Amino acid sequence: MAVAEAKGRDGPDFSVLPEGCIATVVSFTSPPDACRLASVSSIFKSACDSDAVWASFLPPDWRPMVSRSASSLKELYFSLCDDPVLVGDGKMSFSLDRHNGKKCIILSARALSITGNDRLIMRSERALSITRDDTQSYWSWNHMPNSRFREVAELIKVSWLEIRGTISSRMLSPRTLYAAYLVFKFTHKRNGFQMRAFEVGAGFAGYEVGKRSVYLSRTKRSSLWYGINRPPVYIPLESDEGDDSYPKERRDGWLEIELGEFLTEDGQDGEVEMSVVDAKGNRCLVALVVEGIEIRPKDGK
Amino acid sequence: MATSRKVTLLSSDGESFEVEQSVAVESITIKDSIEEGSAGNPIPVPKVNSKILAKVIEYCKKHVESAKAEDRVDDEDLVAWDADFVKVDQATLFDLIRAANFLNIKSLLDLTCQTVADMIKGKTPEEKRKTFTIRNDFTPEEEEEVRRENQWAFE
Repeated sequence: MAVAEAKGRDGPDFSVLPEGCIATVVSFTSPPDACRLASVSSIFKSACDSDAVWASFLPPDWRPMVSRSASSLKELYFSLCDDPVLVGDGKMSFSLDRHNGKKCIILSARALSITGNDRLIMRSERALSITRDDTQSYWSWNHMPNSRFREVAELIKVSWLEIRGTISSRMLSPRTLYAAYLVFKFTHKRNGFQMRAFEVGAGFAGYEVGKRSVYLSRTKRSSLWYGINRPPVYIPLESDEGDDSYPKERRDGWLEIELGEFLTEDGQDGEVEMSVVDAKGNRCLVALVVEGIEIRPKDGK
Repeated sequence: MATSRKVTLLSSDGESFEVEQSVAVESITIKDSIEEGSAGNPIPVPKVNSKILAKVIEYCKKHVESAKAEDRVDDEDLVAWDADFVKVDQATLFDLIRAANFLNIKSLLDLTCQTVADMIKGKTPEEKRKTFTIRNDFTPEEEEEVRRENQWAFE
């Protein structure tokens, strides 16, 4: 076995430290660091793979939340990152962000409040609440193979819609900047959502929540002019086009639009409210499929 | 009723240190041997030389004193003091880790390990091998295998 001597500064050899101490050092770094450090030497690999290190990266209360078994805590950690756990009677998906071990939750469509209205705009303000027991069929509950849940909500037709969700911050990791995203897709390109603005927000109930205006459809008005009596023409955005007010494509094939961000703090338990509110337009909306609302640490780690 | 009881610690190179018992028992190892009645007098501290033992005692004294202070504003001062305490060369830092580990002083172990962690966080394995002397005992094939297992962290 070849031994390469790395000559650093006149520093001591790391191997003077017992493996347990190396593990303690590694537990103060991060999951990506622990995985990179494993290739430094065999002692490091042993320390980096140890349960002592991965116990410190898992959330402190992981044990009651998880009933799966694994041959090591490192294996369990990555299993929770790659293979979400369905909780809450299958209505919520729980996983970890692999970069930092923070909790990520997706509220399925069944866990949200989805409200719609089928009357044309300016005729009726009556909003009908769509719940599991509702017989009005503006939405249908279908199974979709690409979904992680048993059912997704598929929009049949409304003229106005609103989606709301809440989550207790106790379900999330403390001292973390989180963002909420509506996860959805369209089953038809002509869905009425082109240039239709929605007001979105996410934040703690009872506090001032900054709202912003977004679109759910990745289309823009074409600059081509077809004449005064012709309706506007919409064309799709390129994949690198569009700022934060347009949805982004996810790796799992769905779209997502950020609703807002909020900071969880130690000892501050509260209800986080997330909302997507139609700004009203004069077209009917169809063909929207809602997977749910995802809450995960904001990029930037 | 706390009497000012003193104990004597004997470093591996034969130097004696007289300290308050309340300071000495910051080390769970020493505390256990006193309670079991198996500690001699002076209490020998093998593996820890006088230079390091002096620093360990300095740390324990400071932390015992701070715990007594009624004024909790001292917390920030203590953090600043700790930061200065670990501004030492790497060899001393490693010796402090080993001493804290052997003597079972959790707060000192956490402080020194965190300091080393801050030095190696976010670096590539090559950079880490340069900051500290680390003997790489993997063959190129073995190293490649470990990298492959942990591919995502390198992206």
